[in-house]
Amino acid sequence: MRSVTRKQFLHSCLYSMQALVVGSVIPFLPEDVIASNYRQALHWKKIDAQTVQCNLCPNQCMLTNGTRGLCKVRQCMDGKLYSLVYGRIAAYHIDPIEKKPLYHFLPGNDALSVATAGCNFSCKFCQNWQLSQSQPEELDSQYITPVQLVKQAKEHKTPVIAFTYNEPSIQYEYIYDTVQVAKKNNISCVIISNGYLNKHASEMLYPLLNAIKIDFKAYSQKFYSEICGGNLSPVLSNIELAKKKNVWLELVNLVIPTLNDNPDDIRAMARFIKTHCDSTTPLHFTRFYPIYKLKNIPPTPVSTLERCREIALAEGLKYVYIGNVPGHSANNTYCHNCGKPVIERSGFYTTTNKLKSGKCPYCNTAIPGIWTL
Amino acid sequence: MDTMKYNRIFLYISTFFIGVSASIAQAIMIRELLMFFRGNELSIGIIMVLWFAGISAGAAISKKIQAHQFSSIAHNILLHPSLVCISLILLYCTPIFYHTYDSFYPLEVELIIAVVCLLPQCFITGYIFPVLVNACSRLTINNPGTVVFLLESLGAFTGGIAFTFLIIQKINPLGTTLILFIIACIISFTVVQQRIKRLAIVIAMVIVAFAIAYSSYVEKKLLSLSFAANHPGTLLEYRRTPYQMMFVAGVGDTIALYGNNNLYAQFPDDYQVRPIIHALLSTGSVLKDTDILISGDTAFLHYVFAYAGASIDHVTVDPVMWNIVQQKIISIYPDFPSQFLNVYYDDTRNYLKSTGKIYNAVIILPPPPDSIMHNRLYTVEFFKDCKLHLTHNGVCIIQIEGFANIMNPFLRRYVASVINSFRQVFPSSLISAGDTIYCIGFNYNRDTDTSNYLSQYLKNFSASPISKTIRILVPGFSPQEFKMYFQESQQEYLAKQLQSEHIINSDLLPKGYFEYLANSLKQSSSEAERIITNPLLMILLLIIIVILSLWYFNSRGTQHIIFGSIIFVSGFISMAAMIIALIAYQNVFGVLYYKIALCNALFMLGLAIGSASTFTQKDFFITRIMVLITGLVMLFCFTIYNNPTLLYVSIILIAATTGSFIPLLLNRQTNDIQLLASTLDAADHSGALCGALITPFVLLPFFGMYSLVILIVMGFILIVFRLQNYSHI
Repeated sequence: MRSVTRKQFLHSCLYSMQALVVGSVIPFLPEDVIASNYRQALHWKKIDAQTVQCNLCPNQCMLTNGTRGLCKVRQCMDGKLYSLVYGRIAAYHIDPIEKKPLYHFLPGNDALSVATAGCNFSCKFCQNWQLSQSQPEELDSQYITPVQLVKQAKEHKTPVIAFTYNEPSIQYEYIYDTVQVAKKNNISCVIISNGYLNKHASEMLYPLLNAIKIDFKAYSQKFYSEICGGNLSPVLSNIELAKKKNVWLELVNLVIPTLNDNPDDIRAMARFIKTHCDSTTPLHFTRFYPIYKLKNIPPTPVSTLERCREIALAEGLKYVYIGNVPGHSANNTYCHNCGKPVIERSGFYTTTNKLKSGKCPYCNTAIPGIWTL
Repeated sequence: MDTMKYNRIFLYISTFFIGVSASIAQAIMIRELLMFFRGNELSIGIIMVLWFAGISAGAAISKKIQAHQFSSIAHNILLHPSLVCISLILLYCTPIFYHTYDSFYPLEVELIIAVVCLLPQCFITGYIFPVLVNACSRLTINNPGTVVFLLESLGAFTGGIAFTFLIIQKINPLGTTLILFIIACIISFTVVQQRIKRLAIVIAMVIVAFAIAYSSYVEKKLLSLSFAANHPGTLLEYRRTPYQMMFVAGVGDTIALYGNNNLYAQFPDDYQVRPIIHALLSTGSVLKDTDILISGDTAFLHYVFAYAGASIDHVTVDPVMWNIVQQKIISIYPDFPSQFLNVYYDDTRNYLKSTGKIYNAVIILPPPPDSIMHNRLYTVEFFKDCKLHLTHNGVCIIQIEGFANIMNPFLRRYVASVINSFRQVFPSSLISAGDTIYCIGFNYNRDTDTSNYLSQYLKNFSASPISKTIRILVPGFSPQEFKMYFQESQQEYLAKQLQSEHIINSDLLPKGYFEYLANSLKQSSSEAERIITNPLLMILLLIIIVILSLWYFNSRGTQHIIFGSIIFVSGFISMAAMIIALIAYQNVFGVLYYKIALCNALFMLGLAIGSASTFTQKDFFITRIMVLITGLVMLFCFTIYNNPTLLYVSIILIAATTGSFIPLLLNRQTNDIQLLASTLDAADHSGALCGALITPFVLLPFFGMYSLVILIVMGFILIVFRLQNYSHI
């Protein structure tokens, strides 16, 4: 065997290690920013030559050059704030509108549903964690301009574009531009949101939308901070604002055993909705299934959902649904006057729609909602 | 009795005891840590790495401290079971202090927990070996290395057998460690001279004897508190079965069943299994007089199918768990027609291999493939077994974890591996898309165009003789629901993703399992996840350990480098082979839980045989390596032919060979034997540490069971090394 000196041995080890370190670390080096596909953001302010503050959502991230916000998709570059996900679509599906769930908005129609990477929350039960907790460059994306997106909606014969899956407002600029194009083409735009936006941003965007579904995750600051990484108060404000701006609003509460199923909280939630919105605002209690970081919590007992629904109905809310429980009678819409079923659903498909010009066929009561284009 | 003889007896007993204590401690800690870490093989890798790091560190340090002979030995044998007991209590208390509803601890937290629980006791095990060798040498015992190695191995073998066949059924882990402490007290009492120390030992024995009586109560209390800290609902009962640690919790008006802290099922499960009912009915089945095999924890499915007149064979491995499920079924469905249900207590794959029965439908609802044991229900070999038991127009239905809207590369490869494997066996199959993917495989040619299939189902169901019964049993039932799982854009997305992936999940190359594990790690958002899932960084870690080891050996002389290198490689091979053996065992037979100690015991028996073989004058070095290679080949054959004898013999052969090297080299040493013992023990466990690191994170994910070929090649390299170099020493 050829003898090797200690020095030679150590040198060869060092070179090997260098090669391995470079080879393994390179994928984790921050990507060079290529500004061409990025769009200067709205809702930010300059602090100094190197620092900006993003004012889109209550996180109010203070960013220096090269750093990104908590949402992972807004970055400070050369003393300005840019959106990294303008037009960058990572998920693209055609979903029944009931899947959002929007039950009182164009039932039986499809929605062209798009999403990008990132989110301003970090919910432990996020169904779309692969989108929401990813950096934009980690996902395969396609670049679709607002005009192209609206064109594709028309080609697919979907009267609705839904910005959904992860928190859409982090793609604020793109939604804002798309809505303008969509309106001209008679396409509705909806967002499926966590409601975590600063007031000036929501005041600017909400009136342009046709419908909003807000996740009312819990009537508990503790839940929002420990489980979602956010705060309750801005969400409450935006729920109220959406109603004031006459945007069609539906609310969803994903009921998670022992975390947010406290009857007192449910009651308080229902009272808030009745007081700050109105009693006809649809509220969906949906069943939790083990997912993401909460795989050891069992699915919500159906009796818990039924109890939540009873509480909400007792507080005066008229349209309270149970979701993620296909075949349950509370999937259906009942006239709030005569109590008869006017829309029947199987899963997230509408099987029967008996409304006549948005009215109950039995007692002629107007059922609140947007039933036709 | 003269003092010399008395001291020798003490040494033999202490050495034997340390083997027993270390072996039982290892079995207990692996089981308990697996329970807390939700029981996957990465956890085994972490545990083994830390185990050997501790032993290696203890052995390395041992040289520097002067052995004060018997008092030092006495202190260590008292310390060892004490540390195990403390580690167990700390482990049980961890969830109380680290409260999280997260599915699993981040990898960093797992590492810290494992370090705290394992390192102290492993350190003692490593530290004492050179001390014992030196003590034997001073008492002029011939071949001290062989004697110590042999006795320790025999002790470990005895401990493993006793644990597997006796202790595990009778005594809880806390009680076991306390009994070991009492035995250590008795042994120490014989050599401790000072009166006050003797008194202290007696008092400790009395206190511990009382504690043993209450150990079950203490364990129950701690486990209840820790369960409550991290799980919703109320803990109703827990059982330590031979297969797992089972918890039953009441959540609202439902019952949640956990095995090794993993959520298995919730009852009632009416809504969870509706898609399976759709899946079977959509094939045209009328249920009455149908033979159905079901594997998976469900109550409603049994109820509906049995009520509709089907005959159900249910396979479950754990009779204790089934007893609880059955009670729940009866309480929810008092009119359950139990005459239609036959229960077989067996692993599903073993059952299919042993039965000749044929079924109209085989329904598999496996737990997620987060361990190799569960992954075997997702492989092409398993699907073939299912197909063999179908009638000519039979169907096989499985469900797997799917995706919500997009898939990351790990999830994509996992899903692809299972679906490709399924399609290979069932070319005529229907695959849904969504959060849960349902696969329906037909044992005959059938139109599987989705829209035609669903239209036919909608059309035929109303006219079916079973429709009325189903609508009564399943509230709100409508075939329309089934459309939800075949949403066009989701299916198109899935098809496009699968186009680029040709990966298959097989027993020999369980690719699906490792991709699923990587996806689980990604969910944990752990920084350590980046390292674990990056094989280059793991190899870098290996190189660092190798360099550090060589540096350490070099400081002791050329002989230490050469001897240390040989032992390092043999330690690597034996550990890698042992991990592969454990995984191969699970792959073939399923539950390993109560057999871990048996496999370890056989390994220790092999070490004992190996060390006994060094009483001869000649070293037969090359012969020993050929025996090692034979063992590796037999292990590889086991993965193909599934004969357990091959596995057990291969473990013994591999252990015998690697176990003989240390005594062999020690017996050549005439001066400063403790120094060499320290080097060799450290080298052995450093090599084993590297084996534990590289095998689950690099070798198995890339090469599966073919990793054994790499180990065989390493064996031949040892022969070359021996021929080139060793003869000069």
